[in-house]
Amino acid sequence: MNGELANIIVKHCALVYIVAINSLILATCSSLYTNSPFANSQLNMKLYEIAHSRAGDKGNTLTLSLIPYKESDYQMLCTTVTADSVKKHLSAVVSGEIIRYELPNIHSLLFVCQNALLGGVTTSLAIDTHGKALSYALLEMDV
Amino acid sequence: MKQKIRIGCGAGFSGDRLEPAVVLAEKGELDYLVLECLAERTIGLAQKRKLQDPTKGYDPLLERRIESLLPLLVQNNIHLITNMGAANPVAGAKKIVEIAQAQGLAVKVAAVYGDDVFAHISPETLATETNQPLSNSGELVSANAYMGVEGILNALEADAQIIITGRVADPSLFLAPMIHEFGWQTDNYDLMGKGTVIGHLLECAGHITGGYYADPIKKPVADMDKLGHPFADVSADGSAIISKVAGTGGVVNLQTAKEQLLYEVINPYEYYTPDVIADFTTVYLKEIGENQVQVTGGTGKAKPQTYKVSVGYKAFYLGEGEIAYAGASALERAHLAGETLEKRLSPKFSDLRIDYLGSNAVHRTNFGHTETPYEIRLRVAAKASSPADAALIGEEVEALYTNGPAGGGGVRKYVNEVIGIVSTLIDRKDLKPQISTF
Repeated sequence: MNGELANIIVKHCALVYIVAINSLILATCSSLYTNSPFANSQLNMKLYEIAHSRAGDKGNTLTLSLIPYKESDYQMLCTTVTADSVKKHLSAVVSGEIIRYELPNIHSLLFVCQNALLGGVTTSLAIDTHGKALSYALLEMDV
Repeated sequence: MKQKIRIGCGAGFSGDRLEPAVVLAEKGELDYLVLECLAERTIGLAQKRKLQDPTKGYDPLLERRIESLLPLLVQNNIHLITNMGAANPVAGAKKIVEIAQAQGLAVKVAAVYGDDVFAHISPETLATETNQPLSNSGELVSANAYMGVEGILNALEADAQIIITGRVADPSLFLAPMIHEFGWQTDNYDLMGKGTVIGHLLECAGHITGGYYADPIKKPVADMDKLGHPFADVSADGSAIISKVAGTGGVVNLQTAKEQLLYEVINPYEYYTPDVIADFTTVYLKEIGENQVQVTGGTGKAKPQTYKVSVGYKAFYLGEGEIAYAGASALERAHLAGETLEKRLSPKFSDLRIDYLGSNAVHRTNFGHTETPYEIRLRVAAKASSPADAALIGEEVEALYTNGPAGGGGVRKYVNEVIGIVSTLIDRKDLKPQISTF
């Protein structure tokens, strides 16, 4: 719940930020930036904006690739999208360990998530038994 | 020995479109066409059909696929390799011969089997996933080992043009013709690794040509209604260029190739097949032209000493029911319906799931998106021990029409038998791939 609340607040900040730019009254919002990703002069955005992903399954294990559109963003993703941060982001989905593999030759990351498919592809009661749609759950992550 | 061959992949799963393979056979200038049609669970269902009728148990779309492809394969001298044999490759091969005769065509057909190890698996064997005896999962219905290239190689050496197999590891369907045509040694694990990488890139067919990749905002793909399926020009050194037939829809680019290379990979340093443990981290991909991606690198180490076996068991009957709500208070009414159903069903069904489609069902969360949806679809699912019990789920949802919240509509109800899958390993010496030619 706290996470959701924080999310809403961050979204609210983003909204205020846009409004602020539009009306050229940035100063009124400066206090809002300090606790947000804007403080580092970085844009707050979803992974969706800069990367794509495909989900795969093996038993109860979910695999998620993360591929930046620009290969020059690979290092930044390595730094910011860690196994821990993905575990936190997907806490409602993945109950097991997450291992991250780096593939520098193809400038891509791979997250292997255990205990993520409610018992596994063949016997899960979920609407998406394979977890195929979960690639876009990863891309919801803010960076 | 050839220096280059062209292998196309015309189907990536049992229910895949039929015409991309026809386009490949007609215009692809292929040497080999592969159809990968056998998912993990499919074989358990096929085993059931075989038990009911010993002339069945192969892929249900076999007749339709073969009828449209065979004249083109003969005319263009293309070899076909497919796992459409499912639980009964011999019956599948006989059916293909029957179709060929009806079309006035002469082709040599080979069935590759030996993967069915049901008779040799003890119910006391431990499952890899649970470390419990297989029989603890439920009544066992099938046990099929993932075979490697061996049986297909024998069929190619026997000069069969159409090769129909049971359970074979997907990349092996592609690796076998490379070994056969280039004279690769099967203990040259570097080449086995390279060929496996190429097979893995092709095995899901449309996955590498823009299918299951397209996103109209970020990854637009043209003409998905006539998506082309891929082919690879494979060189004897184990490199390849992936492309598709000119004029077909879709796209082959760096992004589609990367998505497919990592698809369903549990450990990119060690991708297990019966032929090799391949290393995907050493692969390089390069876009060398429009719809052309070059694949180089990829390595491997000695193949595992065991075969993986997929064991099917009767898991449960899945009962499902759905109902939709729209307009003011749609979510609240759906919640009321869900709470009502939970009260009525939970005493009877311990494993019950209630989803609100349009809110938080597909991702099992909505990441704080709390906007009120205009419409919502309630879904109830439960595990039952009989079809009659499973039917109760849909019946209860349907009864909301006169007993539930206002304005519910579009009820659907389903009952399906679920075959579960667990795995185990068998020693290499306990499986002998066999072929029969027709």
